[in-house]
Formats: sequence, C-alpha cells, structure tokens
Amino acid sequence: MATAPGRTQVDERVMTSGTTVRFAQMIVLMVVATAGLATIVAIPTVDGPQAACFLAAGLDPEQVTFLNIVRAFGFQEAALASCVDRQSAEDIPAWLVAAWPALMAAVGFALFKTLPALKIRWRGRTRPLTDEAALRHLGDLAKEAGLQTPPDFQVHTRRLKARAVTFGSDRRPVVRLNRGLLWIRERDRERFRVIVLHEFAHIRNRDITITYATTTLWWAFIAVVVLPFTALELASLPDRLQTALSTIELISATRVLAMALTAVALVHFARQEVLRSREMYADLTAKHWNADLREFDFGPEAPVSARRIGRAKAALAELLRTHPSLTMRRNVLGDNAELFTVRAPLVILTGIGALLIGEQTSNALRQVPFTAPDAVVYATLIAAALVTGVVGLGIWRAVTYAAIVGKSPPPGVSTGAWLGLGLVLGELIRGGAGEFRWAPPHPEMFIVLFGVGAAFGWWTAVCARLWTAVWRGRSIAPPAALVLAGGGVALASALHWWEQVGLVWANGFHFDAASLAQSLAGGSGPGVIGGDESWTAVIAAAYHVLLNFMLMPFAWAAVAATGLVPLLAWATRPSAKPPLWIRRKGRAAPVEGLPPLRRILLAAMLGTAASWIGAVAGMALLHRWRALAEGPPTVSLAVAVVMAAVAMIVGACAAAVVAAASVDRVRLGAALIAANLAVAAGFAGILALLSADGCVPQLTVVSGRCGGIPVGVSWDLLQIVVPSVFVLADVVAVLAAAAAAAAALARRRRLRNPMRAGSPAAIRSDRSAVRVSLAAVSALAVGFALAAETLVLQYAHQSSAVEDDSGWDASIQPAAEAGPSDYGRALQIVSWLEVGGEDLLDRLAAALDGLADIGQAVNEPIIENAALRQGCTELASLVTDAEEFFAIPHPEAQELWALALERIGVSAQACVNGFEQRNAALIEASLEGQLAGLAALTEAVGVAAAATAGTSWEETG
Amino acid sequence: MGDRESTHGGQADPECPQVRDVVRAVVAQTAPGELQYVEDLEEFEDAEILDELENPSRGEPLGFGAGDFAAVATTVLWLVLGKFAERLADGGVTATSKGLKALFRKRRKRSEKVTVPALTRPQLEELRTTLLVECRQRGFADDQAESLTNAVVVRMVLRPEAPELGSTHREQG
Repeated sequence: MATAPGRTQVDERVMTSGTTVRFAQMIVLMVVATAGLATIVAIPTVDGPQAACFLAAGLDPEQVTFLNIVRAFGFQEAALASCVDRQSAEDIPAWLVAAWPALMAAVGFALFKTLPALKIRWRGRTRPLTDEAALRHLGDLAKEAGLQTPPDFQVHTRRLKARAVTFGSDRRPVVRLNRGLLWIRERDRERFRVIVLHEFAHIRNRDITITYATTTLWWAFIAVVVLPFTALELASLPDRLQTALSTIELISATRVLAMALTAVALVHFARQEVLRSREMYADLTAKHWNADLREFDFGPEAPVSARRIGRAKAALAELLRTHPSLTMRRNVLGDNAELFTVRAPLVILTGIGALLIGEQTSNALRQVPFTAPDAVVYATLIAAALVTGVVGLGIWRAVTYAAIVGKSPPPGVSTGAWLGLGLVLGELIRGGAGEFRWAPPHPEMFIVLFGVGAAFGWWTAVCARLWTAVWRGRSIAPPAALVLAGGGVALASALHWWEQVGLVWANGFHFDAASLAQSLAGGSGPGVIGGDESWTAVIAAAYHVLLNFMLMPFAWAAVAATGLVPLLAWATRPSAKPPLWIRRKGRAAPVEGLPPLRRILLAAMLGTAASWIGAVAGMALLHRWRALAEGPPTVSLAVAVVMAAVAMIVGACAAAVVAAASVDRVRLGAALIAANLAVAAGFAGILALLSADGCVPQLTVVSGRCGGIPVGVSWDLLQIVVPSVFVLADVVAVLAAAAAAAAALARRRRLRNPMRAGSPAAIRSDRSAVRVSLAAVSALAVGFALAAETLVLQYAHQSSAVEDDSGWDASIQPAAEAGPSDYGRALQIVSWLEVGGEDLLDRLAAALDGLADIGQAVNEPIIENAALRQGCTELASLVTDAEEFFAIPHPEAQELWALALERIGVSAQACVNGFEQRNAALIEASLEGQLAGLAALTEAVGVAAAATAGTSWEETG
Repeated sequence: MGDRESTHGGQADPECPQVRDVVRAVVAQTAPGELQYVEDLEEFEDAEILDELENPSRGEPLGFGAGDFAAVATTVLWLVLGKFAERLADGGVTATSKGLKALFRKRRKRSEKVTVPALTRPQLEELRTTLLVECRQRGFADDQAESLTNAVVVRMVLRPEAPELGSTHREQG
C-alpha cells in the first residue's frame, strides 16, 4: 500500500510519547481508587449514620446551603464531632487503607512474575524452538534489529495464524512464534521478517515490562478491588435504602458506584493508551528497519457499517479494544498524525480523574502527620501534574506535529473544553458541592470550573505555538518542559482555589445576601461605609472576591507563569535558519513568525494609563465620601485598596482587549502579556499615588499631610490584593482573547463567503474584532452591575438583621430562610432519636423512674440511702450528657426539652448537695423537682413525636 | 443439490473418507514437502483445526495482532474441505440459519471426525471452483492451484478407495 499523496510522516521520536506518564497516571489512579474504595468497604454504611448526625444537628436536608450548615453546626460542633465519631465507631483501620493497594500490587506483581511461566506451560502447547534453520534465521534478524542477545524463542504448537507474541520482561524477553508463522518462513520470507521484526521492535523499545505490568495490574485491580467492592456496596444497599435517609443513601451509593465505574474506565483507558501506542511505535521502529507492514496483505478488516447504530458500535469497539486496528496501524505508518492527537474520551476521563484523585489523595494525606496541614495543596499538585502530563503533553505533541508539517496548529480550546467537561463531571460524581443532593445549589459556578479546563487547553496550545515558532535548539523538550511546568502550576493553583473557595460558592455562600452581610458585620470586611449601604454591599462583594484569591497557594508562581512563559518567547534570538529540532527529526516546514511585540506593549501602556486614571477617579470619589463618612481611617484605606484593585483590573481589561484585537494569532498570549504588564505598571503607579496621599488635597483619602503613608505601608496594604488582581487580570484576558478570536472567526467566515467578499461590510469588518471585544466586555460589566444591584437589594432587606451590632451571631440566629418542610423536620427528629436521642430519653426516664421507686420504698432515714445518692449522682451526669448532645431539631420541643433538662439537672444537683450537707429536706424537695422535670420531658417527647408524623428510621421495618 | 441421506456427512461414517485423510493424500501427492505439517496437525481435533483456520483471533498485547493463518496447501485444503463437508452436513443453508449457526459455531463437537460424503456432479464442480478461488486468493501459483484442485477432485471421484489410500499414505508418512 503506497503512501497516499498529501500524507505526512513525522519522526515520532521528535517528542516523548507520554506512555510513561500514562502508566504513572494508571498506577496513581489504581492506588488512589483502591485506597478510596477500601475506605468505603471498611465502613459500608459510612454515609448514612454520618448524614444522620448532620440531620440530628438540625441540617435541613432539602436546603443544604452554606449558611444553613453554619446555622446548624455552629453551636454544636462538639456534639457533631462526637456523634460522627460514635457513628464511625468501626473506625477505618489505617492498615486496611494502606494494605489494600499493597495487596493489589502484590497480586499484580505475583501475576507479572508467573505469567511468562504460565504462558509457556499452559496446557503443554508451547515448546522451545529447536529447528536449527529457523533459529539461525531468527538470530540474523535479531542482529539486524540490533539486539545484543537474541530472546528466548518458543513455539505455540496449536496456533496456525502467521503471528508471534512477545512476553516475559525487558530483561528476559520471550518471543513465541505460532506454528503457522514457522510454516511460512521459507515460503514467504519477507512477511516472516516483518512479523518477527515487529516483535523485536517491542524488545528494542523496552515495551515488555511496562505492557505486562499494565495488564497484570489491571487484572489485579479488577479482581482484588473492583469486584469485591462493588459486591459489598450493592449488598449493603437494600438495607440502607430502608432507613428514613434512603434518598441520601441512594445519592451516596450512586456516587460511590460512579466513582468505581470512573476509576475502571480511567484505568482501562490509561492501559489502552499504553498498549496501543506501544504497538504503533513498534510498527514504526520496524519500518525504520525496512520492514513495512503495509507492503503485505494481512487479510480483510471488518467493514465500516454505514448504519448509525453500526457505526456507533464500531466506535465503541474501537474505544474498548486494546490492540489498534490494522487500518489505524497502516494509517500511522503513512501519516502518523494519529500518534500526535489527543483523544476526547481520554481527556474527559483525565478531567474526572483529576478531581477524584484530588479528593482521595487529600483524604489519604490527611492521615499522615507530615502532610496533613497541606493535604489539599499536595493533592491538587498531584492531580494537576497528571492532567498536565496527559492533556498538556498531548496538546504539545499535536502542536509540534502541526509545526513540523506546516499545518495550522490546533487551538487547544476544544481539548481544554473536554477537560473542563471532565472536571465538572468529576465534581458531580464526587459531590464535593452539595453532599446530600444530586447537584449543588449553585451549579452555575461550574462554568468557572469548565473555564479552568478550557483556558488550560487554550493557554498550553498558544504557548506551544509561540515556542515551536521561535525555538531553534536541538530538541523541543526544554520549551515544552517550561510551558508544561508553568501550566501545571497555574492549574494546581486554580484547582486549589476551586477546592477552597469555588466549592463554597457553589454551595451558596456569597450568593445570598445574609451571608454577605454577615461577613461585613463580622469584622472581616470594611464595615459600613459612610452610611451608604449600597456602596458598602458592592465594595464588600469586591473585597470578598479579592480576598478569596489570596487563599491560593503559589498564586504568584501561577500568575508569573501565565504571563511570562508566553512573553519569554519573544526574548529568544530571532533567526532565519530553520529550527534544528525539526531539521534533525523530520522534514522542515516554513515556520510562522511571532506577531510584533510592539503592539502588545502599546496595548499594555494603554491599559496602564487606564488603571492610573481609574485610580485617580476612585481617590477623588473616596475623598468626597470621606467628608460624609465618620468611620476610622482604616475603613477608608481598605476601600481605597479595593478601588485601586478595581482600577488595575479595568486597566488590565483595556490592555487585553486592545492586545487581543491587534494581533492576528496567539491572541490569548498577547492578551495575557498585555494585561499582566498593565497590572504591574498600574500597580507601580497606584503605589506612588497612595504613598502621595495628602499631597493633592482633592485626592486625599486618609492622611492629613503629604507623605503621611510611607511607601512600605502602601505596599503592605496593596500586596494583600495584588495576587488576586493578577488572577482576575488573567481571567479578563482570557475573556477578551476569546471575544477577539470569536470576532475574527466570524469575520473570516464572512470573507470566505464569495457573495460578501470585497463588500463594504467585509472591508469595515477589520475593526469588528475590537467592537465585539468591547461589546463582550460591556456585557460582562453590565452582568456584574446587575449582580451587584441584586446584592444591594437583598442587602437592604437584610440590613436590619445585620445592624444588630452583635455581628456573626446576629446574622446566624434569625431564621431568615423558611424552616425545613414537615418531612425535613420529621427526618431531622428521627435522626436525632436514632443517633442517641432515644437512648438518652430511655436512660433519663429509667433513671427518674428508678429514683422515684427508691424514694417511695425508703424505710431507713433518707439520708442513709446510698442507692438514692448513687442515683442522683448518675442522674446529674446523665443530664450533663444530654446537654452536650444535640438540641432537638424542633424549636417547641427543644424549648420543653431544655426546660426539662434544666429542672432535672437542678434537682439532681440539689439531691447530691443534700446528701453532702446531710439535708433530708433538700433531698426530698429535689425528688419533687425531678418529677416536674419528668413531666416536661414527657411533654417534649410528645411534641417531637407528633412532628415525626409517623416517619420512622426503618422505613419499612 | 440433493438432500440425500449420504450428504449428511460430518459423522464418522466408515464409508466416507475423513477430511484429514483426503488432505494427507492430496498433500502427499502434490506438496510432499508439507507432509510434516499434516503430521504436526495429527494431535489436533478436526473441530479445533477448523476453528483455528476460520475464526479471527484477537490481538494479544505485544502480539503482531494481524494476519490470517499460514496459507500453505495443507491449511487451505483443510479449510475448504472441512467447511464444504460441514455445509453438506447441515443441508441447505439459509440466511437466518446462517446467523444462528454463527452463534453456535464455537460449539463444534470436539471429538467428531469430519468426513466428506459422496458428492454429486454439481457438488464436485462447486468444490473445485471454491478450492481454485481460495487458492488463488491465498496467493498460490496457478499451476499449483490447478494441481491441488485436480488431485482433490480425483480423490473424491475415486471415493471408495479413499480410506485405503489414506492409510497407505499414513504408513508412508
């Protein structure tokens, strides 16, 4: 089969294949999934009882908002912690979590070690090759392939297909030839040579150990982890579904099974990628030895079905098979673009895996004292490294291929979008947002997560494009390493932000005015500014967004990477010579240059000017407010900082829009560079402006005299928000570049239309990129304004509650939201009873009954009654227990319950005191009090029981 | 094609020659260099050989993953004769029963010896054509294909002697 015209062969060794990263991904996934599943296996019903604790604490199962959680748990943290501890009494033995992956590894290793012997001895069908002529022939071929020592040769006596297979290990390879292959050795020497050299290529490429390790670990994973775990989970499900919390149990079981399924799919794909790419690389290696399989007919392939179902079935089969199809192998030998593309299913699964890995790894690391404090940081770093190694490297390979053959490079956005989709799916599966619901209260926050993935793909592709255009070195690896490291850090930072802040937002915090107001009053915000509540709310919102990026670890590194990595591409020495890395590895193609840096710098200067003007305007505004305000100068300073931040972001936005619109490619790179430079320069100017507070009367905010704020103080103030400003500038740059790219795409489409070409519209459309970008940014601004307005309105409703002066507590106490529904209330009470309330009631009733009996049956002087004394002491401690337990999640019942406990407690204590003071009257009076307490207790139970409305823990029982 | 009793071959009928005997005789006559291959196949059951020749096998990790059985006289003869005999044994094959048969193909009785029943003239003609086509498809030279086919036809026409000849050749081999 001749190479079709237009097909291109790029030396596949131009860049690492990434098999090792995929293998590593598979190992990490299996270990993490195993540890995670082992945790769940250890306590099959971990979620039910814990959920019961949350409900007993008063969490509304139908409105799990952040504020609700704070309201429910804020006062009873100790009770909740001890409840969860009690419910998890069968604590996960730490050794089990560690032992399960170890067991899997041991089984995998044992299989790996015994597999060669098994393959040889299995039913006595394999025999050593003894045919002298064949051995000589094979020895010659081994020399041709450059093998130092020929492998061990075996014959499969029962197979007539003219094929062979390699197994064993890289150190002790075994090639088993089918009897059929030996039959054609003399008759068809060339075909024999192609087949044998393919096997020798596997040995040369050192594929054997990694391939069989992959396979045996996969078997071990299925046998030791997936099957037992799924069986246990399914077996426990019927019982769990019979409790009152069946919905929560169903959600949790579905999530757990989805996690298992995802783990299986991910491991399968990682393994498949390893196996398939090894086959194609072996074909290519053999081709370098002039053994091209395309020169032979290897029988027909299954025809591609024309029907849709048939096609879908074929696609699914292709997705599942671990051996590449012959057609694909032939294609790869002709045009090996296939080796340089990233496949969407792999990208999606990697996205899902990143979040699951993050979750499980941070859970595991929390158990280790050394890593516990920064568990999330390490976990996100590991997850980001795997995503970068699979998706980032994949994008790099695709761009490299395009650069070598001179095609237009992939934009990376679609790959990034698949990654974003994967991240969102992963979040839904693990249920980090909205533990007890199918989806979080604010799923719109998932757009951010999706955007993180899309931006990562786009940024990587743009940087790869920039660097492949300018790099003249021998190998493309150094710039690839630079870009991937930068992208990895930025991704880790973004994922960490999502874990710490994004999830909280998705759960509703900052979306409801009450929590915003509370954070303002709680002292973390600037307080109420000049009595102007509307502005306060807006600035508080801005303040919170700004502060929330401070939590990102390595935020500085991430920010530096996103701007500097593309900027550095301009710093390399321009040269007309073709790049060495292309000349050396394949055919050279004309390389596109970079857009002029001048335009980007100009845009940055414009942005800087905009931020300075904005800052001056902001200071003037503040100066006017200051006349109205009566707050301390610190408030004005805080507001000034927020205003400065807003000015810098506006400047970044202007710079990004202009830069993205003024270049015709790598718009994202241009926008990021311009935005970051504008922020940096804007920051310098604003630092000076703030330090000069008091020098210009119209702009004075705090200081009474010129130079009242030293530069050091201004720096300290501004550096709080600067990382956030850089992050937001990056976000703005991505949006501006996206708008500019969309406008350019639309324009190109219009120009391509022959009817419109040369029309005034087409000529005018040169400026449409700028217009669309401006429109997009304006739309964004309007969106922000509307959101702010909504918050202001809500704030106005809430402000009376907030200004109660007691801050945090004041905003928590009032039931601003509607209470739980009857059913929710019933579930809470049932849970309260289940997790210990019933037990407490029984014990209290028994103790009181017992005391009453003792009191009545008394013959000796009451003061000598040791049993009574003992009973009173026990009752007092029982009351303490009850007071430390959850409040009854029903206001009326709780009032009675608290009253009852108080009465019983007081009288039990009086009884104890009576014994200590030998005061018989006191003891007798206390017994009366206890009876009154018993009555209140009975009443409380009655109210609570009525509220359960027939709901019981065991729904069918 | 008559649906006669004798066409229900496939059973071990002492009257009918076994496929392996025909193959051995023809190979001995036209490709004696392959007699060792026939010898190699002695340890196989008939069903096992046909399965191996007919079914595509999946790609093993690090296997070559593609390629049909070794196309030598022995295997081609065995495949064509075996399938032909099986088809006669099954009677007329319709589209639906073909689909059903595919489901059960893996269930060939392992110990059963496949025999070739006495053939009518049209059946002989069909066998000849099939064998010729298969040989050419498998890259056999025209004269080799001709001589193989003729040897088979002669063997089938001189049917009563077939078992004897088979045993003679077995003694030779």
